Formats: sequence, structure tokens, C-alpha cells
Amino acid sequence: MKVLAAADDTGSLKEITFPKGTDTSSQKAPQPEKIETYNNEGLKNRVQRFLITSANENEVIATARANGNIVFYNSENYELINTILNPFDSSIKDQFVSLINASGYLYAVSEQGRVTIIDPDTIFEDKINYKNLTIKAPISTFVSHPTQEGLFAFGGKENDVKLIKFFKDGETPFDKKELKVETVFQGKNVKNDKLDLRVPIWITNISFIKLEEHTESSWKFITTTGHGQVRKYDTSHGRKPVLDKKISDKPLVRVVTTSKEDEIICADTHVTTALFNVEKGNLIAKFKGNVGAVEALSSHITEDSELLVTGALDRYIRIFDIRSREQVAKIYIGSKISAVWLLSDEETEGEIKIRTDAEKTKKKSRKQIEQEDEGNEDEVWDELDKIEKKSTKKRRV
Amino acid sequence: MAPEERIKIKNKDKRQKLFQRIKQEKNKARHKLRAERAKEERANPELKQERLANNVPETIESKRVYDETVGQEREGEDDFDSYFDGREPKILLTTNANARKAAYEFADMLMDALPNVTFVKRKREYSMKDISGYCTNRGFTDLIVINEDKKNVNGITFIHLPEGPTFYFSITSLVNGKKIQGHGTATDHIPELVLNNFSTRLGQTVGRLFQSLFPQKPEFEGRNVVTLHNQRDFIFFRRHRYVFRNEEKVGLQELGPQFTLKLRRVQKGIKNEIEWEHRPDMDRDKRKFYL
Repeated sequence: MKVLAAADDTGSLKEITFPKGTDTSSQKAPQPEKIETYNNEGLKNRVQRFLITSANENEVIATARANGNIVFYNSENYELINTILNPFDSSIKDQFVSLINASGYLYAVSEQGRVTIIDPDTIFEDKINYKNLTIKAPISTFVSHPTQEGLFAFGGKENDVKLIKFFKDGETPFDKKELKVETVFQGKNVKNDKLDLRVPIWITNISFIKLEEHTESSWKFITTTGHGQVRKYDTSHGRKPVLDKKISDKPLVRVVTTSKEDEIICADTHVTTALFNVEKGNLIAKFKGNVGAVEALSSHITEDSELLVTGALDRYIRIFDIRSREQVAKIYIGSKISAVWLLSDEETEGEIKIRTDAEKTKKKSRKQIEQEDEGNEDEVWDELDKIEKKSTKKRRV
Repeated sequence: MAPEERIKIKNKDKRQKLFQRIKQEKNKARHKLRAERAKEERANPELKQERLANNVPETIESKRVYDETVGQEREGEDDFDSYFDGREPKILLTTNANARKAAYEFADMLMDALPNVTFVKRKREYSMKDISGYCTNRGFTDLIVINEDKKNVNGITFIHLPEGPTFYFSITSLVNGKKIQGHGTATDHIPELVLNNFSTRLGQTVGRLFQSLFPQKPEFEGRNVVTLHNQRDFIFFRRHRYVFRNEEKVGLQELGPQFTLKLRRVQKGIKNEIEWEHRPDMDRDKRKFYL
């Protein structure tokens, strides 16, 4: 397996190659084969989000660094391709919350509402084609609709969920000089609680569900909040959520979807990473092992395996099997982790070698055992004869 | 064969006397053996070395569970780096809201032990997050909050400013310096700092927290030492004054206070995400240590 992680303390990217069952805390378990560090830029310029994307049919890694710059690297040798110098306003504390690829364009969004749209096909040129615009801050999450072009959703602290369009269908963000933000849906807060107090708003994650039922003007999505609630919206049923369940006491900061539509995996600011059922609002299972809060969470769902990669403040990367909830690997990387991505879940070279070697020895040993067995049989019969003779003698006496 | 039967003496007095006699014989034999061995070893010191080399007792420390972070070099930077530029630490000390006498007494001891510290009486209306904001504006590098419960000091929070991290320790075995026999009176000199056994990655972070509380240039003429000794995840705070009696012998005089810290929680930023938290099940394996 191969994992790419953003290491905070050194401000670098780390590529880790390791076999299944790796556990750096145990001397008996397999150890990672390679941990390579690239592009150290220090804690102040740490990578907050990264994304593996294609540009001009090349695979590149786009990284959003803490100083506001967006840097592109070659995905094979991690060499610098280009940088967008776009520093944050130093008077306000800001950080990247999202870096996504939507219909061929990259969107980097910061907490203070700065959206940078980048044309990735121009990154090999001297001047990268990009533009900045601002949306309502503060933002905790910014996602794009998986199928409808130009539709985005965002939300944050005291900033209820909004669906917006930057451009119309068939257009690109670089067609017009100034992009106008068109709000197509604005969420409404839930009813006051039983003490008739206003429920605070803090949207932390949005994910679109049941895509086949979506139309041009109605969408379905779920949100999680920093107050532990999960909410389901159906825009054809009004602006309030159709379902509102409190599933945790702690802020749900990182969320990924699973192969089942009503199940999500949430990580909170404490040590819990758990699988929840949204409809029933109950906890199904916990992914145990993390000592620090999980800062980086990503799921990798293929037909034959479902893997969850976590990177936490305790400086460990852990990989879990979502179906069995078992820990597949645990690797100490010596630095806090803010983003992870599973590059491949194939066997490593070392693993293949060990397996083929083991198969060879197995075949040999089987043959040997069979031969030995044949030789032994005679001895066994001889011994049996002796025993029988002895016993008969005793009887006579 | 039938199992060996123990001969039971029914008279208690006789039984006791027999037991004492056997015990005495055993003791005598042991003393004799030791005396002989001492004599031999005095004649031939190599024997003693050999015996000590072969007879290493097993301790919990030597049986410690493998930890890959022990002895590894710290990678990259952390939030304490700004202090290691040579910035003088400036500490604000306060207590929990509505603290009793014990908290103020402990605050007094800490004022004595830590250099460049200001005490402020805690007000109910300000949370720890508020206070850290005000402290950052006024150039403080650390905020220390003493926690008192039922007239006992039971915890202490260290917040490194401006951006954390936050540490919470529980406090036990607090002894006022004045209660220590033969104690000395502390002077105002900047002490030297001894940090023992902070070996894991988490331990290094804790060590750097304590380093950042004391100025980096100790005043050696004061001959004051503050020791933070970590053993089995308990951190012992001691303060001494040393004196060079002659070229070989060093005398120590304890200044106090004494107390024991145990790390309970480390949080990123000012009381934000948990970096590490003590759980009761961590104590299950007696050979696993986190610092």
C-alpha cells in the first residue's frame, strides 16, 4: 500500500510505502518499507489540503499551503512545477478549508471566504490562469455537486448551508471577467429547542446524496455540524432540514461517506472516529486506536475493499477496514498530519517477494513431509509389533 | 509414592521456637556467606564487578513496552520554537474561579520558583480562552492556571501563548518547602533546569514546555537547580541548592516545594482538539509509558 500525507511539523509531503499489517509500535509486525519526505517548507508554510488531479493529461499534486500559496508538484518525483503566490491577508487569521476539483477546475477556499479558481491546464505555463472572489465567511466546508456543473454548497459557523452557482451550464468560470454569485438555495435554521432558545449554527460538512433523484432545482444532501448534529435536507421540502439528529456531544469535524447511503464516518475533536447511521441517528461502530484527534480522514471504496485512512495529532497514520472495523496498518511518521490520501492499495514489491518466497517453501515442505511420512510408516509398524509382543508376554506370566 | 507429609507440631510454643531456630540458622548462614564474599571481593575487585554485571535485577523500566518514538530526533518545528529564539518567558499565574486558601498558597510557592511571573486574581467572568487572548496582547508567553478542589490543589494547566498547546496535569504529594527538614531559603536567581527521562515524542513536547518556562541563561552564582524528573509517567518537581564541599563531594540542600505531576491531557491550540488524553485503560499495562 502507498499513502501520501501532509506533515505539519516540517511542512512537507510524505510518501509511505508499507505492507498490509504494518505496525511500527510492534517489533514483530512488518515495518514500512519506505518513508520519503519531500518539499519541506516549515510549520508556517505547512500543507493544509492537497489534491491529486490531472493537468494537461499529467498527474499533478496541488497543495494549499498555510501562507495562502497554492503550489503544484509532479506526482511522480514531487518536483515543483509552479506556484500561485496568493498570500492571505496578514491582519486576519485565515486557513484553507477546502481544495476541490470540479469539472476540470480547481477551487481553493479559505475560512475567510476567499475562493480561488484555477485552470489546471495552464500550470505548466509561466502565468497560471486563476481568479479570486469572495463569498460569505466564515466557511468550514465548501463542496461541489458531483454531477451538476457549476453548483457548489458551503457553510460554516453561524453561516447556514447555501447552494450557489458561479456560472451557468455550459459556461466556464473564465468566460466572464467578473463572476456573480447566484444563491439557488439557502438553508433555514431548525426550530428553537424545548427551552425556546435558538439553536446555534455551525455547518462542518456537506455531502450530496441520492444523486439520481436530483433535478435542476431540487437537491438532497446531508450536513454535519460542530454541535454534533446530522441533518438531511430535501430542497423540494422547504428550507429547513427534513431530518435532524444529534449523534454526538463533540464537534464533528471530519466526515466521509461510505458505500451505504445512510451511513457516514465522522471524526470529532476528541479521539472518536465512528460509523453512524444517519436515519436512525445512532452509532454503529467505532474505529479504535487513535490517541489524538483525527485531523485527516479519507475513505477508499472499491468493489473488493473499503478502506479508511486516518491521520491524527498523535502523529500516526492508521488504516482501517470499514467492513470489519479492524486496523490494517499503523505507521508513526513523526509529524502531525493534516491531510492523507491512499495512493494505491496494491501489494508492495517487498510483500510480493515475501509471498512468492513463502509459496515456494510451502510447496517444497509439503513434498518433503510426504516423503518423510512414507519412511516413518514402517517404523511405526515395527514399534507396534514390539508393543504387541511385550503385552502378550505379560499375559503369559 | 505418597506425597511428603509435613510434620505438624501441635504445641504452638514449641512450633514457634523451632521456627525461630531455623530462621536464625538461615540468617547466620546468609551473613556468613556475605561476609566471605565481601572478603573475597575486597581482595579481588573484579569478582564484584562480575557479580554485579551478571545480577541485573529486572525492573518495570527495563521491561518497558517497545515505543518507536523513544530516542528519535524531533522532526521539524513546533509551537515552542518562538521561545527558543531567545525570547524571555513572561508568565501569568492565576487560579480557578472562587479558589480557596490552598490555591493561593500554592501560587505563592510557584511565584517563588518561576522567574518573571505575575499573579492575577481570577475573575469569574473571564474564561481561560479570554484570559489567553488578553495575555497574548500584553506579551505574556505562558499562562498557568492552578486548579483547587475541596481545599486541595489537584491540577494545573499550562497554556503556551499565543497559539498553544495546552497541557493539563494533575498534582499530588504537594509539600510546602517550609515543611521539609533542613530546607533552605530560596534566592531570586534564575535557576538551572534539569529534565530527566523525557524520552518519547510526547515526552519531548512536555520537556520543551518546562524548558520554555525558564529563561535560558541561568544565574550560576545562585547555585539553584529545578529538577523535573520523569519516572513511570510521574513527573517529580524538586528544587535544590548545591554546594561544592571539596573537589569530589557536592552537598544538596532542598529548597522546596515538592510536588508530583501526572500528564492528563494535551490539546492543540488553546483548549482545542485533543492531542493526547490519559484514559484509565492506559494504566492497565504497567510496563507501557507515554512520556
